[in-house]
Parts: sequence; structure tokens; C-alpha cells
Amino acid sequence: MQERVYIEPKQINKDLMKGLTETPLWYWIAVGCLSLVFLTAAISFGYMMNKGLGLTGLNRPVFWGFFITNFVFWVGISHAGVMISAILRLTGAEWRRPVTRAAEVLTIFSLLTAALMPLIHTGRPWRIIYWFLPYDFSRGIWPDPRSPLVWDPAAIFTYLTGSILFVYVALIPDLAVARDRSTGWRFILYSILSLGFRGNPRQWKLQAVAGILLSALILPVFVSVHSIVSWDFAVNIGVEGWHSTIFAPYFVIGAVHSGVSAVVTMMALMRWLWGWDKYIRPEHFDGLGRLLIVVACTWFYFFIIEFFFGMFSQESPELALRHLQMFEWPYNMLFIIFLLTGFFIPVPLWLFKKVRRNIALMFWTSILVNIGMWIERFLIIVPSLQRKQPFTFVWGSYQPTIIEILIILGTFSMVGLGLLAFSKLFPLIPIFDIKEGQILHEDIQIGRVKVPGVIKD
Amino acid sequence: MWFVDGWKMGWPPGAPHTWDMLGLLGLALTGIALLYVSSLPDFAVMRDHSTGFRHKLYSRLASNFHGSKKQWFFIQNRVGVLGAFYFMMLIFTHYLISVDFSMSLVPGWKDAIYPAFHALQGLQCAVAMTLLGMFLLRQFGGLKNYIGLDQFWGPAKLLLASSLLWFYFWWSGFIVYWYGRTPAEQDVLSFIMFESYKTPFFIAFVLCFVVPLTMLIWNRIRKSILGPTLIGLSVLIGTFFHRISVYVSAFSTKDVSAHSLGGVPPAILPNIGDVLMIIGTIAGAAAMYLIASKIFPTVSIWEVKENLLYRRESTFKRVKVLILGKPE
Repeated sequence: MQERVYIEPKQINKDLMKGLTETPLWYWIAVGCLSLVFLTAAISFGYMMNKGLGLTGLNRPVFWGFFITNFVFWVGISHAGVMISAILRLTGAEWRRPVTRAAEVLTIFSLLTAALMPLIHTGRPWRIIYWFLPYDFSRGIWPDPRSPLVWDPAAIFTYLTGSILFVYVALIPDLAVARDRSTGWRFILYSILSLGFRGNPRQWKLQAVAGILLSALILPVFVSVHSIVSWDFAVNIGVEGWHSTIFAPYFVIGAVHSGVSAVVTMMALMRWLWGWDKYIRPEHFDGLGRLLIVVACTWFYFFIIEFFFGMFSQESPELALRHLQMFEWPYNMLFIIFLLTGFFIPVPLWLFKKVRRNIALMFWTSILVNIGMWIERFLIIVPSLQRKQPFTFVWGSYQPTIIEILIILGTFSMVGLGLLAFSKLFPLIPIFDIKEGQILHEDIQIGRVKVPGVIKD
Repeated sequence: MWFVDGWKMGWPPGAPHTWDMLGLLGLALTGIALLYVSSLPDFAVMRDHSTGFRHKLYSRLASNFHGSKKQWFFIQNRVGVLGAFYFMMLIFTHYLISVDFSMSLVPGWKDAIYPAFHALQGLQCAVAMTLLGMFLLRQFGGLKNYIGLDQFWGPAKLLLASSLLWFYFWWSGFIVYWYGRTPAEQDVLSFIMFESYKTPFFIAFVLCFVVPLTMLIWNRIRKSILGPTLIGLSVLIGTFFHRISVYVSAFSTKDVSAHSLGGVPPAILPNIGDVLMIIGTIAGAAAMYLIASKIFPTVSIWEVKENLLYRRESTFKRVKVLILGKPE
């Protein structure tokens, strides 16, 4: 599993700071394309704000559609950071080292994107101040702390704050490296951000302790965020298919599934675009693949339970909903696509070591997973709302419009632009972590075989 | 699975109890297979170091194991596969038992998280029982040199994590039921947690969550031998009371075919016969373990030797460190 490639520390600095020092052509092309998509989305949003929510497909009874699906999707992607960084750090998985920062940064940008979605969804986002600020604007309307919709921003911003702290603490040694190798405005920026880090034993100890503490403390936040988002649906007694106690762990594990898959996508792109073959190796994809098998199977278990318990009591409104989800157009097609892409194609492939170590296959299967998981959220939200009312004459349908599609695409471009901007200022692979991994590695001779080992204190 | 009337419709075959028995049998057989395969090298050692009937017994059990490369590969491979299969059977069996023996008998209780919660409690108890068993083996089995602090520290962390998950799963089920204030769901909560069976439920809550959390967050307690053992005992007692609050309540409802409880039924108290049966089954399980320890070594000899092969002590920049080998 562990393919050791010893690299000189100076070479590590040079390789991993490539993003800060060089700007290849592909970078400008990527920024250009993503900016174009983002601009189109921004114009669509502006147009929607001007003309109203009627430009979207939202209508009675389906008042939550693409925007809320996308909100849940991006909150899900944000779970990658803590899963990989905190949990693998606490369990001492050595293969996590090149993966952690990219995962944590993906968390931050996906959370920011997720937080935008409800604002976009309101249609008139400035009115949100009446809803969340605890101030009576002479309207008699106060925030309702009993509502999960109020718990959502609290959880998301707590997680965002924790994640930013987490990234920052881990970034300090690398900022010091960047400071010592830069001039001009970069020198000033890195000097401020590195907080005078000089690498003495006391500073290293503090940095390590802070990292471990943050890893442990962010775990309950990580679990609570998507649980609270799930309770937006689950505590509702009026919508068929939502009132299920399994929603919290089901959403959390689904989030980990899509988040870790997104990290696989990112790692493959980083390896190909930045040429980091020596740092992002097949063994890392092997480790991520094994993790994904466990996560995907757990997710599938929760999915099956949720589905069966939906039918447990044999109540006709619930059966009508399941019939709509599985057998009526277009949800039947989406249901099949979601199952195939979310589980039945990637997981059997991941069982093979050759596939796990094939970066191209891991890249494409991870993308398939996220397509499936986006559709899964859509299938939870929209069909249930279509069948929300007890009387069939108020059953409706939902057709997304081009405005919604453009805004959704804009969110993907936003995350991409954020990651590209980050890579220009900060190294995407933690320099100190890679060096530490090399130092802590030691081979053990057992008979005629050399077994890779790790130094533990 | 059980909303179809078994034999009349032809499928699925039989009542859910059939599935329960099959699940339990499958779990037991897989567990025995896992125990046997992982003990093969140790049977070979005991065969080579015994005489008389023991030599005959271990020769049969060791099944011609001589430590060839192919045989070791077989062991590693089979233990991995059986372990994964056992885990899947465990989850499935917990699902069957929890849904059939408790949830389906309480009208209005449709709790999708309960099977997963039940499985988690099972895992938590497994860790707790392991801690208790290790303590007893260490104290009374003369295994102090083999069962040290590390063997308690690791499971203590698992116990802390599983206790946190206990609360998480319980809260996920509770908040969804309680929030909507529907009468049927409120009745179920009152029945199982807050009125009829509130005493066993609160004992379970304290012993399975409050005590492990408040104790195991401290390094000194986690990194000790007696601390995790006592908390393991607390978890085992707490889980027992939780099972009472769920299963006794389920079997005491009058009309299992109703759509809701229609009120909160009273609790059923145990009599002396019930108490003696419980004590008897615990004693029986302990007796079976003691008898099994006469055949199977309680500490895996080959795994201890393998661990020693992968450990080296060394000096790293004036500090004594441990190097742990991590083979593929």
C-alpha cells in the first residue's frame, strides 16, 4: 500500500509551491471558462431578482426545487474535509497527508456556496434580515428558534468557522515557508498570516496540539451540520416520505459519500494539472477507494432501511409517493440513474485493487457518485412535495427552468474558481505534512523482506 | 418483509420469526467459523505441544495446518472475508430482531433509525464486554504480560465514540418523533421513555451515555485499566435496562394490530421467576465461555507473535520511539 518515494526537502518546497510561483496556460483557460459560467449565473440571478421567482419552475405545491437540492448537495460535499482531515488524523492513517488540505479547502468553498443557496432561493435575499436578525422591524416578526431552518445557518456558520480555523492552523508552517521565499506584497501577506512561525520546538508542539484539538472538536459539528439540514425535512409531519427518523445519519453518511468522492475528483485533477505524481500516488487513491467502499455500503444500508420503513405501515399516501419515485416518468429514470451511478457501478468496481489504483477510473467513478448523489437529493425533495397534499387535485409537478440550471452551474464554477484562487496563494498539498511523513517513515527488516513502518511515540 | 402474510401468499416463507431464527443461526455459524479459522495456527501449536487425548483433539481441529506460505495466506484471506461477512450478518440480524420483536408489536412505532441504533448498541456492548473479559483474564487468568494498558486504551476510545453515537442515534429518533407533537408518536415516546418505562430508560441513558461520556473524556481514565472496565460494566447494565424498556414494553401491548397505542399502557414488572431466568442466562453464558477457554486459547498466540515481529524499538533524535510495521 505505501509506496515510498524519498524526495529532498528543497525539492518538496519547490514542487509544492509551484502553484504560487507559476501560472501555466491551463490555469488561465480554466479561470476564463469558469468565470464565464459564473458570470452567466450571476446575470441569471440578477434577472430572477428583478422579475421574480416566477422565472423558476417553483409553484404550488413544489416550493423547494433545484435550489434547495443544490443547497443540500453542497452541504454534503463539505463533509469531505472533516472526514479525511480530522478522522484520518485522529486514527493515524499515514496516507492522508497529501489529501488533507485539498479536502479542507473544498469544505470551505462548498459551505460558502451552500450558504448562498437559501439566499438565492428566497428570490429577494435582502428580506432575509427580517427573518434571522433578532430585531423587530415594526413587523412583529421574530426569528423562530424552534424551526430547523433557523438551526441551519447556526450549524453551517459554526462548521465554516471551525473549518477555516482548521485550515489556517495547518497552513501556518507552510505560510512560514512561503514567507521565507517571497518578496513584495506576498512577503507582507505571508508574514502577517504566518504569525511569526519560526519552527522552534514550542511552536511545533502548539501547532500539533491545536491540530489535534480542532480535529476532535470539529467532529461533533461535522455530524450536527447535515443532521440539522436533514431535520428540515424529517421533523415535518405533513410531507410524505420526509417524516423518517433515519434522515439524520442517512444524510450524514450520504454527505461523506459524495464529499470523499469529490476529493477523489480533486486529487486526480491536482495530479494531472500540477504534475504532482510523486506526491499524489496510486496508494492514496487505493486508500480513498477502500474508505469509499465502507462509506458507500453504509449509505446503501441506510437507504434501504429508509425505503423499507417508508412502506412498513402500508399507508396509501406513502405507497403513492414510492410509486411516483420508482415507476413514473421522469422519476423512474432518475431513480435508476441514481442507483446505478451512486452505488451499483462504482462500488463493485472499487472492490478491485486494479481499479482503485487506476486514477482515471477513480476520477470517473467519483464523478458518477456525485451525479447520483445530486439526483438522490432531488428525488427526496421534489416527488414528496408533489404528493404533499391529501387531495389529488392539488398534486402538482415541477419543471426546472434555464434560470435555475444556469444558477446551479454557476455554483460549481464558484467552487472551482475558489479552489483555483486558493492554489495561487497557498500550497494545496501541505508541505510540512509531507516532510513529516518522510521523517517518520522507517523500514523494518523481517527475514528477507523489508516492511514499511511508521515511527510512533 | 412482514407486511405479506407468509404461507397464505406463498412468499416470503413463514412468519418473521423464521427469518429471525435464520439470522441468528447464520450469525452463530459465521461466528464459529471465524473463531475456528482464526484459531487454526494456535490449534497447530497446541497439537505440537500436547499428548494423549488433547493431541488427538487438536490434531483434528488443526486440520493439518503446518504454517506453509499457502496456509498462512489462506488464514489471512479467510479471516478477512469471514470478518466482513460476520459484520454484515450482525447488522442484518439486529435489524430482524429489533424490528420484529419490538417495533412491530408497538402500534404507531415506525422508527427507521431503530435497527441501526440497536446494532450500534450491540457494538458498544461488544466493546464493553471485551473490556470486562480482558480485565478478568488479566486479573484471574495470569495474562498480565499479554493484556496491558494498550489493550484497554484502544477500546476505551471506541467506547467513547460509540457512547457519543448512542446519544446521536437516540436523539435523531427522539427529535423527529417529539417535534411534530402528533398524539400517536407522543404516546409511543411516553410509553417507552417517559412514563411507563421511564425508570429503565433513564438508567440506560445515564449508564450508556452520561457515565461513559463524563468519564472517558478524561485522559487519565481512558488510559487506565480499571476505568474503561468499570465504564464497560456500566454500559452493559445500561443496555440491559434499555432492552427491558423496549422489549418488555413491546410484549405488553394489548392490540398489536392497532394503528396507534390509543393511550399509554402501564408497565409490567418482573417477578422472581423472570429475575432468576436472567441471572441464569448470564451465568450460563459465562459458563460456556469458561468451558470454551479450555479448548480455545483466550489470547491468540499467532497474532501476539506477529505483533512482536512488526514492532521495533529505536532511538530517534535522542528519544526512544516505537516503529510499527504496516505491511500491505
